[in-house]
Amino acid sequence: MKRIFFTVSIVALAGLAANAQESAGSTNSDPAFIRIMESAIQKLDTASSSTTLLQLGNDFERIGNAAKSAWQPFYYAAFCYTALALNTNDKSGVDAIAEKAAAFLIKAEALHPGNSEVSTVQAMLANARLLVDPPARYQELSVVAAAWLKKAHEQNPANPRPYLVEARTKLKTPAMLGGGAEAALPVLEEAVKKFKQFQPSGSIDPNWGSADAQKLLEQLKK
Amino acid sequence: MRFQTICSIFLLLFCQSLSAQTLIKGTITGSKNLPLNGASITLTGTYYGATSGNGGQFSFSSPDTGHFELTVTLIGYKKSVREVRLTGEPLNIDIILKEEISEMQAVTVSAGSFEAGNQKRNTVLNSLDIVTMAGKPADVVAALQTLPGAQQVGETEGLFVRGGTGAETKVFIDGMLVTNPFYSSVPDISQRGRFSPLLFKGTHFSSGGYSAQYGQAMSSALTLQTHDLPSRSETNMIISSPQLSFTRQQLAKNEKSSIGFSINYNNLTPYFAAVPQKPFYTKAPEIINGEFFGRWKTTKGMFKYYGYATHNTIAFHKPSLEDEKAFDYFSLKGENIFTILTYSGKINDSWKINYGGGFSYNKDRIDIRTASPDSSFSSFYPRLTNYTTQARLVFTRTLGGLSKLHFGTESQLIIDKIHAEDSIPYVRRQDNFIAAFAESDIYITGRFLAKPGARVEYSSLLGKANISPRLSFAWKLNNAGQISLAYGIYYQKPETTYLLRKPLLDYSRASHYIFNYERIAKGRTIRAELFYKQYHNLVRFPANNPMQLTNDGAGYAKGFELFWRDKKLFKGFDYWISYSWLDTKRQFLDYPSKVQPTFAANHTANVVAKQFVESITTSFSITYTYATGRPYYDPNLSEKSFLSSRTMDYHSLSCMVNYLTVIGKANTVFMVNVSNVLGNSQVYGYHFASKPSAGGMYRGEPITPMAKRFIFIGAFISIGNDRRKEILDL
Repeated sequence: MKRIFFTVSIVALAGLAANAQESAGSTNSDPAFIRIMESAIQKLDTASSSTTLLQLGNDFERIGNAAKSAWQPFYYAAFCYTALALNTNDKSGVDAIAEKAAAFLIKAEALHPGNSEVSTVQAMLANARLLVDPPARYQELSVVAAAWLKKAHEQNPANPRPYLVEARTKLKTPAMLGGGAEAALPVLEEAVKKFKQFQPSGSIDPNWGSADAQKLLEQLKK
Repeated sequence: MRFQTICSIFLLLFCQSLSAQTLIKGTITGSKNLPLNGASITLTGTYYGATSGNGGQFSFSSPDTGHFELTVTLIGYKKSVREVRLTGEPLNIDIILKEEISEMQAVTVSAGSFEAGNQKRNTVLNSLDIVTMAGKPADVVAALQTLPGAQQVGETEGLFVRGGTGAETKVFIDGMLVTNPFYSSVPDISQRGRFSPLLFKGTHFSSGGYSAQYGQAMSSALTLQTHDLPSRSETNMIISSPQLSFTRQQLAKNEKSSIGFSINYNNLTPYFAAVPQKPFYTKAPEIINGEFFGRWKTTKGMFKYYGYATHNTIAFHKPSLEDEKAFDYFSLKGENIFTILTYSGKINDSWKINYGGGFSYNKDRIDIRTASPDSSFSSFYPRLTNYTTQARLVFTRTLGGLSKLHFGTESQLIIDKIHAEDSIPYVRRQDNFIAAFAESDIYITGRFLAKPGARVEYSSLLGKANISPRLSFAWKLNNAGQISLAYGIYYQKPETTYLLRKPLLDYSRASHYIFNYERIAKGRTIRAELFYKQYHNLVRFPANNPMQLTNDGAGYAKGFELFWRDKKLFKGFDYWISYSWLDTKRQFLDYPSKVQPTFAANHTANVVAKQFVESITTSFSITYTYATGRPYYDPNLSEKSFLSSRTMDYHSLSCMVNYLTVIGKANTVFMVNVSNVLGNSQVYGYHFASKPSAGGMYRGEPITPMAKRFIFIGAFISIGNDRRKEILDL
């Protein structure tokens, strides 16, 4: 379970940055801000270790605090810390990391309310918290994660990322509990379909996961 | 012109980089010069900064000049801010971070204290552990009986803690007293708790030395916290061999409020028809109850409502010891209502308030008689009624850092009535009970906590007041280990049955002294505890006159307890072991001398083990309990040997299998539980006839469980209003 989440988050990160630069346009007019964000998002492309994730999480936090009004830096900071929480082997430290990620998500949500991307990371964060003690937390947090995904779908039905997160969650859930490859496949196909149509609104807006979804789909179909 | 421009731009850029790039580097360390990696170093308000690497080192450059703040943050440490002046000259800055102990990590008093919850760090059991406890599934008390300090008492309901009776443990829900936490007592058959463990998000079991916020329990306090808002609307059903249950919780669209209800029906008739039981049941236990839930989140807090109403009946008879042809008949009809409304919220940043009100009602109609076909030996038909009305108000003030002051008051109006045809005239007792308390959590550091408190109580029925001091300390030795000490004086009114006989009694009193060591690290918990308790003013009466009550009784209890839990041995395997050694003697009730009471065993041990097999989503669990024999009185021996006889040792091995699956949209758990799988003989004590028979001997018989084994088969079904699947079908 742990390993799947590890690979999943790494693959996610690879996808995260790869597509980020292809998009054009910006929501924030300060070119210095855009430049530094683009460069940090690019670094996420190659991020594979916890050290790099932490570094980038700190970078995004710094940018967010300086830029103040942009939601994206806090979104990415939350993403980095969530990935870190999923990555950490010593589960006793996860709750503190998750708390920090949650604080970033609150900031991102306040700056850009009703955001499907933020809700998606909320779902990932609930999964990270769940994995600290699955038998004790499954009942409560699996419901929380599902509720965030539902919200993400409602906030932006065109967003493919909640589908991807859902497909991954299904993959690691035993078939007897409604998970497994068979249950994940249609969700993943939906994700891939949506990725094909998805256009991010700016160069620093979330645009990760497409390559990962494609790859996962190929693996599943084998 | 063009050349000039290029030159000047070049110059400008060159100058800027030359004059303004300030290199800032240094090392971040914690206490004892330990380098810290992962700390975020920021030139506040700018994009410039770095993250410390291995060895705690960092370095970065900034094109800015002038005065800035350098902020350093790291999870688990206090934020450090210092002024720097950037001039272009390299700066070398070493920073020492101070550890910050969050509420989650701060030391708490573990002496006598067991937390059970899902999210807190210091939990010993979680609610799932309680539901999936082999032996008596979904019974809070049965689960707590596997913890050190609790006795295995099978003939009477309640938590018998460290030499105390079941009545010396009080149960509180959301801070409010539960007057009748168990189904009304039936001779020789322990009754279940009224409330499902699924109602509670947190359980706190104190085996002694508990907080000044609670009182009137000489041994132990069990405090339960009901759930907050549900995370979704949900329907739950239980279909099992003794029970049918339906629960519906509806979450409002704005997710700020919820309402719900539940209907439960228990009937053991089919089960008792299939598996013979020892008393002959003319009416197998039948229980019907309904519950209401309400939650309302306001901007600063939450209101919670819980209402419960039940009706239960039971009737049986068994051969009497008094006469060979006679039978002892027993029947009970019980009604109970319990309802509370509580609020918990913030007033402002430093003040919190909790208040609540509650009402409960209990009525028992009991028929007891001994009769043979041709004559009636005795009969007793008591009707007992209790009304409890209560209110509680608690303020919490933060005192800077993690320190807090709690103070508050509670009042209870308790009315008890008894009436028995032919034998007891109408008796009514009313007690206006009030209490006030103050207690402070003083964190001298995040690692050292002192918790002084005091409680003042007044009972109008006794016409007496008392002051009980409480004091505890906790000291965290390192990240995992801690020691704690607890002391307190605990007063308790005599039980209702004695107050109905004679109201002008005094409080009984117990003093607790507890020393505890606890270590929680990497999925392993170890606890060791030593305790000493003194009892004063226990209720006594002469064997020949139960109406002549005094407060002359006294006693002591001392012991040693161990607890070990390991979740990390194998994947999915979890087990715990508890052991209690208890040495206790008391003179109370009609005991002629100070002796070990009937409800105390010298040695008690429990092993609980669970294995979850992910591939088949099935969990297997066992509970094994051992206790040495308990004292009983054999009237065939001389009076000097009162309670000197011992029952046989107690052994019980129970097994449970849970299979989790999804049927349609319903999460379903199938459960099979078998108690006492090996069929060990279990004897809780002995009964003897009141008069010797023809041969001059008193006839006796052992008190045993109703049947060797109890088999429970059930399905727990949960359907959430989760539109995930509908979304996918589109």
